Amino acid sequence: MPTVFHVMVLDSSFLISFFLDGDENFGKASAIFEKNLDEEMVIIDAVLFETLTVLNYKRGMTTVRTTYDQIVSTANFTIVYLTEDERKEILAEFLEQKKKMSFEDIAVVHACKKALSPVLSFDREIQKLLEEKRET
Amino acid sequence: MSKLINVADAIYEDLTRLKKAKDASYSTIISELLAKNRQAPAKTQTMSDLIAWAKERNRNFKGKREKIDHDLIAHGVSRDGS
Repeated sequence: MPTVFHVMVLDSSFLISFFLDGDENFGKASAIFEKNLDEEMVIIDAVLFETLTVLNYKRGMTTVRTTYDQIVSTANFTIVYLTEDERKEILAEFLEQKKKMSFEDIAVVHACKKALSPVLSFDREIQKLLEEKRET
Repeated sequence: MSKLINVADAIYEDLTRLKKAKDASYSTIISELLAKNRQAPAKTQTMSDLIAWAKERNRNFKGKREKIDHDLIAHGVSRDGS
């Protein structure tokens, strides 16, 4: 019986591809969204901040504000604000890593592992780490 | 001697609420006040609406297409430091 996922975790690579106008991966990102029109999708606060930071660097604050408004007004998205305990757990995992991953990447892997959810990401490091964690 | 101060209705409402919540922590009261001023817009659109908006925006994009190496992005900077 196939596994049915109800919640997907979004990472910044995916969000940037979708929300950065002119990104080469936009077609791929929108096609994936089209296949998952009714899925609930989680955006961790740290990932949202990272995404908005990159968009500010690339396109400026007008794009950032428009993107934020689009995210908060779309019913499928839920922004998850990490608790102090969760941040401490993720920080411990961040300090233990042997790769060059950001706190936000580790937070995404942490959330996927906890919720047994798939990730929507174009970052191969995240996908690799997630596979490793699932095998252990 | 008491002094009569005229305050806006919204401020009076906040002050009344603060008085009622005197046992609440400072941070709770501040968070509530901030949240009141920064309410998120209602969830008014579906994923299909969002995709349509993004496609329209991309169609109108006049700049150069960009290829980002997402493996190298970490908080807006590349992991190799360049």
